[in-house]
Amino acid sequence: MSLLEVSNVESGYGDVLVLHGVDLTVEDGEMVSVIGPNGAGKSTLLKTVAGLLEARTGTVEFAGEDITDTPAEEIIYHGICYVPQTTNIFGNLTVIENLKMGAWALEDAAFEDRVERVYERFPVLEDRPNQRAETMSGGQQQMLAMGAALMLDPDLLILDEPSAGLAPRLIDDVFEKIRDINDSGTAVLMVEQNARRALREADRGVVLELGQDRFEGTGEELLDSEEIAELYLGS
Amino acid sequence: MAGFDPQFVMAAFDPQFLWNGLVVGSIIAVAALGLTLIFGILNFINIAYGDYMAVGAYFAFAANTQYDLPIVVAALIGMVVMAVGALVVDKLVFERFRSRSAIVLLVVSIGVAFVLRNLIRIVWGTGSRRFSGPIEAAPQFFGIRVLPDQVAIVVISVAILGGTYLLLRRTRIGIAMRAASDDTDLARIRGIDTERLVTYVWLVGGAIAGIAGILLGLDAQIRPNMGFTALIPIFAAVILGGIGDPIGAVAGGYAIGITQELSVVVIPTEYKPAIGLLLLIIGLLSKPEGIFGEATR
Repeated sequence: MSLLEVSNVESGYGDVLVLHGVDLTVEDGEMVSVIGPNGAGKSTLLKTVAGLLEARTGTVEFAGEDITDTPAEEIIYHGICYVPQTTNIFGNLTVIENLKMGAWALEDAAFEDRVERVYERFPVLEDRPNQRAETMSGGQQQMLAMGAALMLDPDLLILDEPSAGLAPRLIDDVFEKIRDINDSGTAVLMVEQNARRALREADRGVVLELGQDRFEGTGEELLDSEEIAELYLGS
Repeated sequence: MAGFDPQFVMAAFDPQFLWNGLVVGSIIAVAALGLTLIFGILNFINIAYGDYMAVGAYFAFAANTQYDLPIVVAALIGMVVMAVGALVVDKLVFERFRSRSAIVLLVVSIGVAFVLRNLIRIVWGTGSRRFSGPIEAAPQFFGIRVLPDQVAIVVISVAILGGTYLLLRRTRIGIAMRAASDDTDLARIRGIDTERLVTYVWLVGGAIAGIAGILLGLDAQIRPNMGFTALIPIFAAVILGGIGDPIGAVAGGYAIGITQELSVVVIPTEYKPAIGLLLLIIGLLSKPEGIFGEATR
């Protein structure tokens, strides 16, 4: 049984259907990258898993439980944490307040312990607990977004374009952190514009096009495939 | 601009007018705080807010004069009634329109405003009322007339503002309110039940509207349209402070109150309410993101 199992999901916004039957699995502790051209439905897929969008048909199962119709505010209690591409921190809140909200679903007593572990992973946050989040740099904000998401120690971390808008040096930092998080046992499902990089990092890659999953394989397989290189990796 | 009389400038900063401004500013600040909290989470402009203030004042008035309760107890009753009342109005009316656009909700709130105002007229009549208590001669401090009611208004305002600050900064639920006001979707991702938060926000916002109305009634008179006519400076304070920003709204409230009262030295008293609008226009032209807002993105 897979950790996450998305079967034949159709989803979209209002009258517009974006996903036309997508299948996707993530195994325990695995890192999966979803790549594909703009408008392929990558973000829509993540939002549907995270409960922000409703699946019209199909099912989403997590750890053997059907979470297809679970609303966004309950998803986190199943052990999934989702980091959106835009607005993934509360800009008007301080760093520590953001981490507190990351731990909303947690008993108060466990907070100190968790926050220490997040600080260990993201020392940049420890230096500025009372800074207003929106006054931090883009890289720091991305670290805060991931740190807040890790407060609950999720089984699956979902990341939408974690490297978007960051300088190359910071992109390395972010991918290093993601690698690190994955190595400690958290499964990662990530969407990336930076397809080559995402495939190199991931255990497995899935190519999404026009709302359907087209190809699937290990990161290396997809990187080596001429067809995929030509169509999706822009070379 | 020739012949600017220094005596005239001094008069503009007459401590009496400053004190009056502080009193009026306190009321506007409290009212603006409640309005901006509600806006922050629900994202619509609630025109009925002024009438929430009036309802709070009338219930306190009834408890105070019709049931002879001390003013403090009466004020608490007014606040509780309006806290629950704001929630009931939401359940009966606004909740049904929540998925609609902000304009639809705004128009609906105008309807609610008319209903509340006319219910007040039916129950308590159209005349103006006062809280019980003697009309006292104002004691003088350093040449400033300071009414006991005015002192009460300033002190209670500081207590309400301070209490709300602690709620929003120090409590889990308060931080969650600010979080949801920042981004509702992200709040949901964090596991925050935003529908339940909306309930708390109506309770807090309603209670604040109630006490603001009571303070307004203490300063002037209790009339059916007292809240509605107070809306312009309150909206101006909210917008000046950056919509949804509590500290900005409070700062905006004091700024407008003080400017408005100082303005009587320069312009006829009847034009006083125009000051709020004037500051609003200046604010929107020079700093549209609000007093403390940063130009983002």
